Amino acid sequence: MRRLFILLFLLLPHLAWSGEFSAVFINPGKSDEKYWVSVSRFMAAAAADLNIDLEVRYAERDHVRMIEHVEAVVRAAKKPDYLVIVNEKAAAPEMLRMADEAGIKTLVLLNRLDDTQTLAVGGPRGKFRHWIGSLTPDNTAAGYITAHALLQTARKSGHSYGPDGKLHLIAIAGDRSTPASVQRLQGLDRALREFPEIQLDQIVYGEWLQDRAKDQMDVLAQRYPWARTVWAANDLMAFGAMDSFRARGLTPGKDVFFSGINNSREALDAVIDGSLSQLAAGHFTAGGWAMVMLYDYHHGHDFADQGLELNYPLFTLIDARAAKRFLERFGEGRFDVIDFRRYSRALTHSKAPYAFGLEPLLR
Amino acid sequence: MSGLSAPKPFTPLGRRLVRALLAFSVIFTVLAVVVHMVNDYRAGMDSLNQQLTQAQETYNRQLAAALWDVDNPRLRILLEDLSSQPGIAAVDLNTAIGQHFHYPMGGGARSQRGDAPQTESVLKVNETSPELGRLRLTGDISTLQAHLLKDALQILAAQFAQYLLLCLLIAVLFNRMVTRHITALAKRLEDFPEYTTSKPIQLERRRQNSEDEIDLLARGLQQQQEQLHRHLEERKRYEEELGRHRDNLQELVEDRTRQLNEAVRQLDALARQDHLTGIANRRHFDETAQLEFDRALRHQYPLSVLVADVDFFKQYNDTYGHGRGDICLQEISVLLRDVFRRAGEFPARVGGEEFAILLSHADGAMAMTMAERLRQAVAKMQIVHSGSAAAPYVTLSIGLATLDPLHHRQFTDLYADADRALYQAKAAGRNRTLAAQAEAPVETPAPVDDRDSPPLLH
Repeated sequence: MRRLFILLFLLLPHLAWSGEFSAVFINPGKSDEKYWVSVSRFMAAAAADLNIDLEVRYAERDHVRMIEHVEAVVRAAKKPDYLVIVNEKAAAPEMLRMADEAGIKTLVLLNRLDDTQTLAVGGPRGKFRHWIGSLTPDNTAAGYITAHALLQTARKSGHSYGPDGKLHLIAIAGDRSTPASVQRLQGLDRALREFPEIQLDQIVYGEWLQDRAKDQMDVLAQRYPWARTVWAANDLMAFGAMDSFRARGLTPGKDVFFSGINNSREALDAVIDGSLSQLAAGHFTAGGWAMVMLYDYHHGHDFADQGLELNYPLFTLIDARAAKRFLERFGEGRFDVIDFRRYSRALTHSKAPYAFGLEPLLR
Repeated sequence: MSGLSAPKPFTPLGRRLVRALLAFSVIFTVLAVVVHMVNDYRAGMDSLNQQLTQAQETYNRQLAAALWDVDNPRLRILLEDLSSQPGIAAVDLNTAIGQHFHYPMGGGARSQRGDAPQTESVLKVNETSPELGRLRLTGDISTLQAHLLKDALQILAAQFAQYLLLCLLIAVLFNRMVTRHITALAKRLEDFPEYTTSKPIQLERRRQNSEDEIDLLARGLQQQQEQLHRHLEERKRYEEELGRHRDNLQELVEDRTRQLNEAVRQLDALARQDHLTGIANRRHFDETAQLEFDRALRHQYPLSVLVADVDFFKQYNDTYGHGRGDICLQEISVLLRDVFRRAGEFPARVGGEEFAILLSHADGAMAMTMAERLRQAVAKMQIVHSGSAAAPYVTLSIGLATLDPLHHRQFTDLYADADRALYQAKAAGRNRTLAAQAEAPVETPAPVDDRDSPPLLH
């Protein structure tokens, strides 16, 4: 009896809302991780607007589990029409291979395949012909805009220079391998070239974690006592660095300046209260735009004319005003206010490039 | 030393041999193990130091990088990895900013022995970079020690087993080759009579091409046994001979003793006999007289003594020569023997021509009768005596005394009385008998004419 109930429950979405097509998103994050949940929610809002049956499977930051999810999907009696995966921990090629064998069209989201992976498996619609493309945010831009804005803020404050007359900067990157991390660092590097008086003391890898970043900042503050500017590859590591400075009696936003990347409630609040000087957000929207792309693809409006590996400047610099507006408009994941149908080229009969990004949503 | 007197406890040679072997093997094994352990310890320490140096070389760069990147998880992984490397007991990292890492975790209180090798190195990203920390590696000496101990125990056990077996083998061989035979020899020697008489000593040994000490001993004993056997045979023969000699000697001694006794008896007789007349001499008389005197006093029977003297015997000798005189005395003696031949009558020659006669159980009257019979018998012999003033023939004067217990304390008293009576008889003209009286001797009747009596001898 119970088994029957479960079966009914599982079949219910297909029976009740049987949309135009079905898609499965293998979310590499944890099911309670704010960023990854926001990705799913934004995506779900888009799927709802576009009448797509979306199933989200969380891998709980375990790449083995990620592959297991793919395996379950390709072996299921009723396979989805589309599969959306993330190249987390360089697991994409294996997942692509499995999906391709099963004949499921696959879109790679957020993290593109890196150079070595590309050398091995080629590009979309090549060796794996069911791999239809990828959509990634412009992480280099995210790194650049946050760094650029941060350094300007620091320069303006005036009292964050060291005795050598230089602005001492600490960079807390994510990790060494993920393309998003590498690209954000490249953005930082680009920004630094515009500020010759900035001394980048050291780059450390905080593995995206707040506690780790705090520990590292504790050490680095001793190693570089004049560092007053911290660039972080995400919001949590910026918070960790803040914790370290606060513990030593310095006030973020006044004595020390931080930048981060993300769209968490805490990050937005920190921008509003001024402790976080610069924040870039918007890549969480990628899933939603992917839904739009799949919808158009499904309805014969292939995105190939714009490229198979799309890299959109999804990030937007969020100031206090924008942050307030974001919270007012979406709260924590109320993305159903957005009309995703407006972005579909199939529905709008438009030939113009996609105008994906957070910035328009905050106007 | 008391060893000679107090019997020592018996300890078999084999046991002493095994004890000595065991003691030696124990000492040797212990020494060998000590040497082995010292060597192993040195080698172990060397390899430990090498391990430490290698680990240090392998990990320093990575540790420095992790420190530089402030990558604590990686640092911890590296340190943990490092601490689990073989030969490493503890890893201590002191960073330039005062952090301290100790691995293995929870081993903070574990004290390492002072002689545990340690290496210390400075962690730097490159030659010019500042010092990031100091890494101290402590060698795992306890594993080395445990290893050494295990080794030592194994060697000890193996060596002891080996030596024990060897000792056992030696003990068995020693027993088979030596102890058994010596014991057998000793047993044979203990049973001495059998040893000397029975068949020659032969050991139960397998015949071998060469001789050894046991053979020498056995042969020596065999020779000794033969010698002893010969010697004993000889001694037996000598003993028999000696026995025979002893028997002969006994017979000889008996014979001689008999001869001697005879001689003594003859000598004794001679000593008591007057050599001229053959009757008892003075000594014999005195002895017998005293005995008889004592006996008569004790038993209160009468005892008389006669003392007789040949009248004018000096003249007889002068007249007829000493030869005739001796003959005369012999004739008188024969007469005496003849007259006094009953028991209790004892004639003797007590002087040259003087005779004495002891008469037991004879009172005065009887003695007088006997004296008269003698005097008359002599007179009757008619031995011509021209020199006599009393008669033309040999006559006797006789004194007589009878025992009177009141007067005679001893025989000499009695004899003195008789002698005095003789003197009186001489004084009264000779050829008569006078008895001694208490006051005065009683004179005998006038002498009878004895001329009719034929001479007895001539």
